[in-house]
Amino acid sequence: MSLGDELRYLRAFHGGGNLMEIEDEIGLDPGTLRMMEQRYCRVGEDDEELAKIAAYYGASLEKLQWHRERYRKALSAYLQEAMESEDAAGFELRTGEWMKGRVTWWDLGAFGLEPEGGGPFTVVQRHAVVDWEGVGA
Amino acid sequence: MLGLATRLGIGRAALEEEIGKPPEALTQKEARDWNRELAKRSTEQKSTISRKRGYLPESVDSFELAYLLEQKDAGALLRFTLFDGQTFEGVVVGFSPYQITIRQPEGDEITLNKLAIVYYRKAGGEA
Repeated sequence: MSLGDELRYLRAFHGGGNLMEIEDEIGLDPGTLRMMEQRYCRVGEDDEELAKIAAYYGASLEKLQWHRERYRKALSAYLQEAMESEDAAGFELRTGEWMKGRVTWWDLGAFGLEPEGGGPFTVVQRHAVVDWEGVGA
Repeated sequence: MLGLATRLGIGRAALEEEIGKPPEALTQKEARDWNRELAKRSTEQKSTISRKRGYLPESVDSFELAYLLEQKDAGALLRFTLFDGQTFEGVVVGFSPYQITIRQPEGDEITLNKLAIVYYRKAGGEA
């Protein structure tokens, strides 16, 4: 799960506050959190900023750094590679389930998966993918 | 070229059959022509989907839109699994970039926020 998706998840569980108000409270430049939540590239390079955000949400800096490595474009690259190679791809979902199968399509919001060993075709939401095989490999 | 073909749902074997040889064996001009042809098809495919792109990452994008339209037209029964583990079954009656509305078997309609959905599939194990 990307840092942006994790931050949105944390914000939702903190009452879904207004981004500008949170930025002001934390002491971040306007637009910092919005950019982190919505961009597809790797974001959150400034550990000092990230530490402030972690403290605000009661999360650990290490956890946010872990999500920083799982940025949306990295997932796109993995999906594309899996689709072209037709190899089985594995995903850990927010529900705790691991899902493995052949990726048949992907777009900016979701991807289609033919589960390994049969079962119904499944549309997985990208924002629900916590981790996938081969991150950082 | 292979990436473009994949985006169009054309596998390597089908592509080779259509162009008559492996892509690696094409001349530079042939490769350029085929790239142009595949790009044209890709544009045509996209242009059949008229919509306003959603602003947030969880919005319904092109492939999911096509899939949802297909399931809606077919009246397929889908089962949605949410972040909190709840599941809902129903046929798609409509959707926006951020929500999907389903009619449950007992007739009730419910609107699910895309952001709350983890995955969905056809109900009853149907592939």
